[in-house]
Amino acid sequence: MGDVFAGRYELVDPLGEGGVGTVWRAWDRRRSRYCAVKVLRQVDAASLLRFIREQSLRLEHPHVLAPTGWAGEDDKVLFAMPMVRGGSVATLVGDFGPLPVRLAAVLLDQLLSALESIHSEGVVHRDVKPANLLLDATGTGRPHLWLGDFGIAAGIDEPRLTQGPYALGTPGYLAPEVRRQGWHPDPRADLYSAGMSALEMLTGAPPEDDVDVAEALAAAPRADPVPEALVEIVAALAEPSLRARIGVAEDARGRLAESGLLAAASSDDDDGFGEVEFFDHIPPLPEGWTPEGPATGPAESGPTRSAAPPLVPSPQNGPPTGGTGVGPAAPPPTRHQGTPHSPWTPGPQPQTPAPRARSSKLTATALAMMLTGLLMLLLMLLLLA
Amino acid sequence: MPVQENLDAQRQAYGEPLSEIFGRLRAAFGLNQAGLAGVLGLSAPMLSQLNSGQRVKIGNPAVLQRVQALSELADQLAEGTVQQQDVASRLEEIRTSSGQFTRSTSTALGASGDDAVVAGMRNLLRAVASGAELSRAAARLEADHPDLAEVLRLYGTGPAGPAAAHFARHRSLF
Repeated sequence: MGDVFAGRYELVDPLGEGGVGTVWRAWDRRRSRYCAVKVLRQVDAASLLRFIREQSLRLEHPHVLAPTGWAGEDDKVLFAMPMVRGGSVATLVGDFGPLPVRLAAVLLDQLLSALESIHSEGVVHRDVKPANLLLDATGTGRPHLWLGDFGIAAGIDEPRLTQGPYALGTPGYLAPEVRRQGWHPDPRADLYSAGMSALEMLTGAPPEDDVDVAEALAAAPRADPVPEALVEIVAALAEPSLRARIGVAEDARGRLAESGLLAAASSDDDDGFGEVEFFDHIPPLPEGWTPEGPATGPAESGPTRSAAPPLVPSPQNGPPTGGTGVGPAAPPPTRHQGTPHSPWTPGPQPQTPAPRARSSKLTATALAMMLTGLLMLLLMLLLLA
Repeated sequence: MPVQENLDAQRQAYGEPLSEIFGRLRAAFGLNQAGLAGVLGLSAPMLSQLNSGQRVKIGNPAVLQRVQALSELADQLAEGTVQQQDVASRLEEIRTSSGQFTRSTSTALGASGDDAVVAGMRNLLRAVASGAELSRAAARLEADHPDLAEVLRLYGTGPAGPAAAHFARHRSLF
């Protein structure tokens, strides 16, 4: 069996490398469901821990993927998140190159709506980039974006929260004032990064520092030109000068709505998303695992999988809300109900919507899991009441 | 799913079905499916769809460039103009190439030019003398002409990596 962290999270298989640390699929013994986890060293985890303690309860938003729990063991901290199956905007651009105009506009709008929400709660993300914009596996349906990886997020009122005068974040997406002066947590830096992310969606290539947005868009290897309205919005977000940059996410969303680019084309068979498809990027469960958790019965090799009692992690300095703070149930976000093609599995891909916004992101791979989810929901509501 | 039509369309666009191109590249570099996807910058599901003909086209022009670069590298490897021990670094170069025309083409040209010169020098030295001879010659030069001795040792008897590094260190001088 896999390593067990804090007696609760059983690591299943690595899903990919994050900015800091590896993201794993894990089996949450306490809640009996799969989730994505990231294990960080204590020193790298400080900012995220503070963030969870102070913010995650308030950040219930259909486009914000904040950690739902954490557990500490020795000098390591594990963060748990709902599992999002459709890869990231970075993998999407890798697969499809420059994205269709309407798709880029819709994704940018969803990102801006996430930023609008976290900024209104006084949080700056500080590492907005395509690799941190996760997607649901909605097949050929409407995209659903999640702003994830709050690893270096900071409160607006906490200047210089992380170490050093050096800029955090990722070159190419980092606002010039941040590169020059270091981080004073300012939501406008997130907007710059959002503009650069949109530029990458439209050009199909990562932006270079100090790129001229209009020129880059004109030179992009794309079949259709980018409408002037969108060029202007992206340029006004990725504007080097703070004074000339769009100041709040809401304004950018308003301009996007006015442009008419978010609306579907009139004809029914063209949704403006071209040939783009949101694949399921999560590989099938490895041997020894079932949708209901670790396979029971005699193990073919290795030690017998003993059902360890679910331990409650007892984190030192833990947040008062406990390590698994999740807010009350939000209305489930609209989800594509189709059957996206998954090259991983020959059978139909289960896309069972779970009853809660957060749960719906999880691997509801079987009816049994749905029932478990319902039970958990009831339990949690009871706990929260 | 009109797979046959898609395979025909792939043949038209790329000269042969992508599964054949991908299969050749995997064999040339000993890569599994995930490894090839990683070098090309494609997701595993996308590579699988292209491979099976469920999808016709490589949508990302940068990926297409990487396919071409890999094919060239495979040819060079087969011809012997690129040594096996250099493959790992060349693959890494291709993987990280951005696909933006200016950047990737200039680095690709520069790097392959250097590699060709280094390979030429190594081949020349080995054509005129055996490894043992080159070692003895380097030893005799060591006291009075250490830099020349180093050139004989690095290009004549060592692997390609240090020789290429030596060349890169000195190329700004000429």
